Amino acid sequence: MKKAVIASLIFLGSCKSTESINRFAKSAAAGTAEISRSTLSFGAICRLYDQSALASYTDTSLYAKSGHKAKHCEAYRSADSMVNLINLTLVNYFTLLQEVSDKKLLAYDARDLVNSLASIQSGLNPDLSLSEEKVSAVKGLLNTILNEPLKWYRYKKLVSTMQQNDSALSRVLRAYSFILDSALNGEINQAKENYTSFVYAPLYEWARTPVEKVWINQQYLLFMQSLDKEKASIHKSVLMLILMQKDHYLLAFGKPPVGFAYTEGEISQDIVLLNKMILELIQLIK
Amino acid sequence: MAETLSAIQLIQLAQSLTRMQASLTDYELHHYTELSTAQKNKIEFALSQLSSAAGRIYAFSVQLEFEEARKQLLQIQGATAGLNKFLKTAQKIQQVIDIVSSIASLADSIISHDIGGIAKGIDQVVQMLSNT
Repeated sequence: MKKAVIASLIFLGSCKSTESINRFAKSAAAGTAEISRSTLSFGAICRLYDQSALASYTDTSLYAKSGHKAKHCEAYRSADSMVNLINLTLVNYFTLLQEVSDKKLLAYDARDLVNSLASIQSGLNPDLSLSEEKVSAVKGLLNTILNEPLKWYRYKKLVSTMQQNDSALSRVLRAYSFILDSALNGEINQAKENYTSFVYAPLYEWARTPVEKVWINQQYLLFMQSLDKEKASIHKSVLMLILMQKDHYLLAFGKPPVGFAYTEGEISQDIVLLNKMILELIQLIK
Repeated sequence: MAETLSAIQLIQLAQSLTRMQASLTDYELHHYTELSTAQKNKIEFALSQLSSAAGRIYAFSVQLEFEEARKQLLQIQGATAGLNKFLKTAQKIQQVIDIVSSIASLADSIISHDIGGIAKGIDQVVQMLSNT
C-alpha cells in the first residue's frame, strides 16, 4: 500500500513539471518590462512632436530665445498612466507565476534529516545502524515524500490560476496591443505629419539655394528614420504580446489531441523567439 | 446606432484627420507660390487645428480601450494577489519542513553530547520559529 502511494507520488510529480511555466513566465515578465522601457510614452510624443514643440526647429530668434513648450498634454499623460497600469499589472502577474513555478521553492533536500535520523538510531541501538545504501535509499524516498505532494499542489494551483484568468489576460493583452499598434503608432504617424507641416514645409519654402534644400531634405529623412525606429519597436512589442497570449493559453489548456508534449515543444521554441525579440528591442533603443 | 464611438472608431477618425493634414500640407507645398498670404494663413490655421485634434483623439482612444478592459485588468490583479498569498503559504510549508530538519539535528546533538551542536541547534530552531 505504502509502495503504491510513493509510486503514485513519483509519477504525479514527474509528469507535472512547472519548468515550462517558469521559463515562459520569466521571459514574459522580462519582455513586458522591456516593452515599457523601449516604447515612446504618449507624454514624450506630446513634449517632443507637438506643433508648439516643433517650433524650435524653425526658430530664427537670436540664441533661439523664444519659448516652445508643448501645450495641452493632459490627455497624453492620462494615456500614459493607463498604459503604465496595464504594463505593471502584467509584469506583476508574470513575476508571480515565475516565483510560484520556481523549482527552488519547496525543493527540499532531506539529506540532513536522514543523516540525523541515522545517527540517532545508531546512538540508541548500534545493532540497527543503517548502511550507506539504506541511508541513500531513505534519502530518495524522503525527498519524494516531502516534495512531490507539494509539487503537485503547486502545479494544480498554477494551472487553475492560468485557466481561470486566460480569457481576462487575453483581453488585457489585446487592449495593450491595440494601444501600441493603433494609438501609439497613430501618434507617431501624426508626429511625422506634424514635422512635414510645421518644420519641413516652412523651411523648404524659406530655402533659397539647392544646397539649402538638400540639407533640409536630409534633415527630413533623418527625422523620419528616427520615427520609423520607434515604429519598429512598437511592431516588435505587439508581436511579443501576441506570443505571450498564445503561450499562456497553451500552458493553461494544452492543445488537444497532442497534449502537453506538443505544448512544451511549442513553448520552448516561443521562448527562444521571445528572448530574441527582447534582445532586438534592446538593440533598437541603444 | 451606438451613442458613443468605440476605440476603433476613434482611431479611424484620428487617422482621417492625419490624412487630411497630409493632403493639405502636400497641396500647400505644391502650390506655395500661387497662394496669397491670407490663403496660406488659413491653411496653416487648419493644419494646426487638425494636428491638435488628431493627436488628442489618439490619446483619448487609450482611455476608451482601458475602460473596456478594466474589468479584466482587475481580475488579473486579483489573480496576482491570489498567487502572492499562495507563495507565502508555500514558503511557510518550507519553513515547517526546515524546522523538522533542525529539530532532528538538535536531537542528534543531544544524544551525542555535542554541547556546541546543541546550542547551535537551539539557535536555529528559535530563529526559524520566529520567522514563521
